[in-house]
Amino acid sequence: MKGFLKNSLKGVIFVVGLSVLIAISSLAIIPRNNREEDWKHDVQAHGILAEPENTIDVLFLGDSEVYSSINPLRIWQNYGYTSYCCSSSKQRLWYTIEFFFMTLSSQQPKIVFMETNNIFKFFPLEETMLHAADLPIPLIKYHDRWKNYNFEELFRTPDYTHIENRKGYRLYKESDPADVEGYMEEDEDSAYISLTNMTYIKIIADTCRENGAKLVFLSTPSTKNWNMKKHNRIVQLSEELGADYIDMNLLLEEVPIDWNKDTRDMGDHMNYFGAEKVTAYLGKYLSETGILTNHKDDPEYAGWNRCLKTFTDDVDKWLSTLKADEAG
Amino acid sequence: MDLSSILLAGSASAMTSFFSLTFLFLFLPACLILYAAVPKAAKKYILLAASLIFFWLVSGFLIIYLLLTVLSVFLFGKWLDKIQKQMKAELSKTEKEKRKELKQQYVSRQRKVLLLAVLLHIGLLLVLKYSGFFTQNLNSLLWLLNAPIELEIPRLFMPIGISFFTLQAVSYITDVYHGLIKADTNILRLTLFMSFFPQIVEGPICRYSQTADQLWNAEQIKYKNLTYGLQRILFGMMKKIVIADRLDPMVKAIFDTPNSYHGGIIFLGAVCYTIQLYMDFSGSMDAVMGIAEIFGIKMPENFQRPFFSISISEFWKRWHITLGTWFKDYIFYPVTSTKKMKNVTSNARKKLGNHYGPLVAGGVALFCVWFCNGLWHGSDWNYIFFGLYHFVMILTGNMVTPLASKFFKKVGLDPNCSSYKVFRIIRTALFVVIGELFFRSPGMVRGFELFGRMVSDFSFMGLNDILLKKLSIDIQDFIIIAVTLAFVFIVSLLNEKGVCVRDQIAKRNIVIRWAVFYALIMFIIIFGAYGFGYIPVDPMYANF
Repeated sequence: MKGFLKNSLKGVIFVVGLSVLIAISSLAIIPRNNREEDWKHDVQAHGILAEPENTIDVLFLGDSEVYSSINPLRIWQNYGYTSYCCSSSKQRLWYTIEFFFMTLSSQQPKIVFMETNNIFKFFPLEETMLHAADLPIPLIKYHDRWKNYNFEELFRTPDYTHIENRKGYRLYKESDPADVEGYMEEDEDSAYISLTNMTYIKIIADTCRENGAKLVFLSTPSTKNWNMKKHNRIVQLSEELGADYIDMNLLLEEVPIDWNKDTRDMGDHMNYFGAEKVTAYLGKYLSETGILTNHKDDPEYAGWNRCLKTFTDDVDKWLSTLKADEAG
Repeated sequence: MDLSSILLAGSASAMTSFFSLTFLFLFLPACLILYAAVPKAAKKYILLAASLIFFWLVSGFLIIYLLLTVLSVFLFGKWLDKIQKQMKAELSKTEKEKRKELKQQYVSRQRKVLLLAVLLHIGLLLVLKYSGFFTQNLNSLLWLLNAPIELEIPRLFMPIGISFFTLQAVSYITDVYHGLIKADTNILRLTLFMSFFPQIVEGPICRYSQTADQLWNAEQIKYKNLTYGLQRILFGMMKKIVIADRLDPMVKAIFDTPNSYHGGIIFLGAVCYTIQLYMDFSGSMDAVMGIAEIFGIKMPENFQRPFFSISISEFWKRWHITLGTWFKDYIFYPVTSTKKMKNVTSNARKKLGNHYGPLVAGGVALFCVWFCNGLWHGSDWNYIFFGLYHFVMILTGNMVTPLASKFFKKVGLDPNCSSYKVFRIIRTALFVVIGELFFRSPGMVRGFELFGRMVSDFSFMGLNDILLKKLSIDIQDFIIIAVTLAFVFIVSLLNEKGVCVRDQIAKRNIVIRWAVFYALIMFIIIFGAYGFGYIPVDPMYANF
């Protein structure tokens, strides 16, 4: 018994020592900036870290459907609301929640949109475990930073300076028509949401409630990813959680997507033209909620106008070339 | 929705890797806690339950194959046992002069039962693993003959580890037949022997006499076993996660689009693949041995520093040892000990002498062994070629040995001098790399194409930062791989000299000991190829 206790104590001390070592290494390896060279993955989404504190009123979470469909600068242009797309390619819900909590550390969004595509994405427990370890042990996530680690970083505190001019939106110019056969055909069944995903959704919903943010489920138009089964399940889910739900796949008049022109990859994602329609509807929806402030004339938000100017200049230039090409 | 699908979801079944978090931080600790908590008499049942749950988690409903295999060999074993008992009873009652004839009758009956059992199990393996391959080749033949028929290629579900547990099943029933072991009267003990969770995915292929009793008489976990086992798991983890998984994207890139590269790069790909395979497989074996050691189970080693071998023949005595010994015991010896082969050997001895004489029958048996070895690894011609390549290498080696000895005597060279030994080690490694090139190639023809390019266009032109980026690797990755390989080499060298590194560490004071462990753990966490930007790599031998 004495030997057992002695060995157990040794084991505990060993684990404590290891934890201390990992904690110190984690502190040392956390990126000090949100630039790509500082090993921030999905640098567009991480741009929110550099936004001034409490300036983002609307947060869009989700996978590539979000950054392809929603343009925060257009919402700013038309309504003066500040929003940000914290989205990344093939975003799983463990990553969505990571972005959500990361945002809450410096922002207090009044409305949180959750794009619904990744709610149905299934991932193994292994992935959940690995990324659950990311939060308390950043060394796990950033361990590969040894490749370009600068020891000067040891003496610096994090200072995020990289502002994303497009606020997470990605401009896609190409068009590739979609086949709409069978798209949103009537179906009484509901799709399945895994237990793990339900847990993540509930955490996001509870956190929104605690922070006084309105949660809205949003299904952006996609012939490839969306169907009635998924729609039915999200209707149930939004009722369960008391959240709003917008399914743009059924708003044929309000969001008149031309599937020959508005998609970049045969109905999977929107392109610029599709994004303009989606964003226009969202802007209107946001204005109707009556809970957002127009910051257009606020000098503290002047940076947004500069970003908008750069964006519109780029787009106008491209559109005029396109027009000329079509005419020629 | 069941637990199995949660763990299996996605592209890979996480539990098949002993280095997955699910296995290391959920499954294994749960097993260890339960195992430690129950009294000695119940420990074997915990191991059995854990093994069956593990197999269900990685194979789902395909566990039925394992259970039916166990049931089948159990019944065949009992059948053989019954015949053996009957024979014994009958022989004791029979007159001396009639005994031989009676014995032969019983042996013949036993042989039929054995044959039925072997055909059933190997047949099932052949159907599940090779029916697609056979149908594909039959279709090619029909096409060549202009026959207007195309057979549908069957897609059958195959449980993980079937190639391993089938060989264990055959070895069990054959050993019962030979009277080396007694048929098990307890189906649970046999199930545990067949399904013990650390070994079911990638082996080692154990004999009943090696592990069945150890497993059934499972002991309390001892502190030394726990620490030694964990150290071995850690060492294996370093091999797999730091070296093998880091090399994976590069190897994949080279073998997926080999036409884009010069022969030198293809050679580099083959070398890296050989290293990857060794680190992956032996790393996983370290984990298997480590886990078994924690439970106090001593399993047969599968690797004995194969890259210190001075010949291909020796290499295969040190690489995947349990497969090699299985083929030796259940194919090589049975073939060479048939009456016909014995006659061939004695005739050949008279004509060709004592060295070359036995090589005739031995060559036939060796051919069978290597043909089966190649086929066991996979259902494609490149695997068969891989087996036959080693057959030629080993046979040639056996044939030239006396000539080489004469040559050395004549020129006055000492074949045991260290420089010649180093040369032979490098030469063996080179032969192994060539074999692995075919092994990894997508098909035999492609393998020859790659080999041809490697020989005719041996150039490293274009090997620069841009190419390395394309190969998803950089110079820092190479440095880490080199450092880790050097560490593995030093440990292997010490082992080769009979030094047990774990014993040496255990002799040091606690500060040094813990410093070593902390350093190793931190090294794996920091330099491991996992997480963002890395695709988890399944254990390579789990697919064979």
